[in-house]
Amino acid sequence: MTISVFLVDDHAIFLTGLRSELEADVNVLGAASDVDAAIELIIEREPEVVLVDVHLPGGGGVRVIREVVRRLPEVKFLALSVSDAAEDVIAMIRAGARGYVTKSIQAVDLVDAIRRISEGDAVFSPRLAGFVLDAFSSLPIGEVDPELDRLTAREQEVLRHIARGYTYKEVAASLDISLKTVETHVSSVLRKLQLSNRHELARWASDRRIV
Amino acid sequence: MLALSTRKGRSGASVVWALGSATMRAVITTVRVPLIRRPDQSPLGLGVCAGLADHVRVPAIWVRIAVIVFALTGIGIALYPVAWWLMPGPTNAAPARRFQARDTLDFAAYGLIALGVAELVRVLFGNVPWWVGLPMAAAVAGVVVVVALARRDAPGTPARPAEFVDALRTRPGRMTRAATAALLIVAGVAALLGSSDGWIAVRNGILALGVLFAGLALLLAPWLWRLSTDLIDERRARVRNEERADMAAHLHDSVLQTLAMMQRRADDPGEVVRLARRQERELRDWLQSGQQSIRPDGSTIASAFTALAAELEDLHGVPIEVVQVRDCPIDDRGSVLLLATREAIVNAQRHSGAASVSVYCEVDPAQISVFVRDRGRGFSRAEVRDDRRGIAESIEQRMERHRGRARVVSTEGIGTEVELVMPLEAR
Repeated sequence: MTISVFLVDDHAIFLTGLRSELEADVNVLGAASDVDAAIELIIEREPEVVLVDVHLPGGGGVRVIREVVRRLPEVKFLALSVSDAAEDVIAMIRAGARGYVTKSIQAVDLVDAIRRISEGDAVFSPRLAGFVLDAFSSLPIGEVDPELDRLTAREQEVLRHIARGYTYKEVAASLDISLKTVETHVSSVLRKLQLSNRHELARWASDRRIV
Repeated sequence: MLALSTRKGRSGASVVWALGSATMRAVITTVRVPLIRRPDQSPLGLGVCAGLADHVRVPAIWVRIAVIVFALTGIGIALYPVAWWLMPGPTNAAPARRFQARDTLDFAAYGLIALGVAELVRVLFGNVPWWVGLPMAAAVAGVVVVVALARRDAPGTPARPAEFVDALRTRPGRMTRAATAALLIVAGVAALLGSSDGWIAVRNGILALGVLFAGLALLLAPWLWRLSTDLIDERRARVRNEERADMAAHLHDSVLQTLAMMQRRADDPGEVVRLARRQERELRDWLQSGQQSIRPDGSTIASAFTALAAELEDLHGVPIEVVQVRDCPIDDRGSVLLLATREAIVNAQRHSGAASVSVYCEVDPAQISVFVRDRGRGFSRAEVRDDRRGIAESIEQRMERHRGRARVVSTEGIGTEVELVMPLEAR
């Protein structure tokens, strides 16, 4: 059974290309190029996975995720963007995206990421893994909630490998753990990233713009 | 001076004239510091006195006292808003200083000084009823109260001159304005009617007109304000248009040229990828810095790696993905690490056959770690010919000479990873 996918991107050429690349492997339910149309169509067609761009006319990908998740919590989002600004990446994940990849990703890797997202796992690109390591280590020591504001040593090790360009399978082999364990660690990092309510996370992301 | 009405009045007038012309000379001759408002140095957030003080290079307090003394003559009250209107604001809009409790004390002090001067003038020149200074003091106090109220309502927001006028539009602001204007007008009329003989009548007439004018200016302030905001809006629109033109020019010079080149080189995929990567990098730099041609200067590890990746991508055409965690200034050992990394990246680009190279750099308090990884064909050390000494000399021995270490892991058919670790000096 193929996975049903919905595409949200305001760049017509990219959308056409993406659609033709994906159609062999997944069931593309439709596409939208602005926020309001996207929200309406996603709620109407109930895809399993939505690929959503960061910058969109009418409020950005963050708004699409927020509005849809409120009404259809089971829809899963993968952020797909040319932007690799920390601010954009962190905002999409905090809004509820389960992963972030750049548009230069190979089609076969993208299909793999879609499958992983649909199964409830998280998809971290090397860059996102780097951002997360940087953000969590930059948090000032103080009143921290160790459950949400700290990464375990193992989680850091897994992220470091992903940042080095390892696939999940390669991470598992290198650390001598099962693929399932790697996925569990990454999902746990995603949860911390989404639920940690320390405003330092957001501030870290916006500070990165200046550097 | 309020009361130049006795025979001592002439000397008083000449003192005022001398002071005034000295000030004017100072204003005219000191051209190196531009005459602009300095709202960031001003307790009221208007910056007129601070700007004037900056311009003539005297402490701001002298200007403030002078302005208050001039305000006592009535003319100063009219001149202050005119000066504020005429002086351009700072180009890079520094946020105005917030009104602080200390400022209230400052103003109380200024007020006392002003009253003191008024009293001194009255004692010296006599003949002036004690209450003449009161409307002026009331006006100053009113303005202070209005601005203070506005600041309290919106803490933390950067103050603009607009806030002052916005404050005048609020209900307490309107009442204060009306009351102050009424007081000034009454004072003006009283001064006009109170004058008895000719010389005094003329002198007081001018004074009264000044006070009346101040009252009118206060009444008309909102209208004047609207007039000037229209001008500002127009200027803003022009700036926006210029920005748009700049951006169009930039896109034309860079992106459109590259796209044209890519069409011409369509038969050479490697060259097309290289052009696209180069343009992408250039555009990202431009978007992030907001300006053209700001290159990383290589003064920190992160900027040095970005610059290195850009250079090697252009040289060999194989894309390099850099992920950086934390940053630190670059020192001698950092430069060694950079050279070793360069060798590892070049090896991956030239020999691995991989489509891209991943570079990961993490700065810890104790060390900098770099991983250079490719998914190329890999190799075994035994098969590397003895004359190819890049790995041994340029990477391993170079790192070890500086107390670092290098590790090369390569599996044929899977790829190669070079790990470089350089300990940092205890800082």
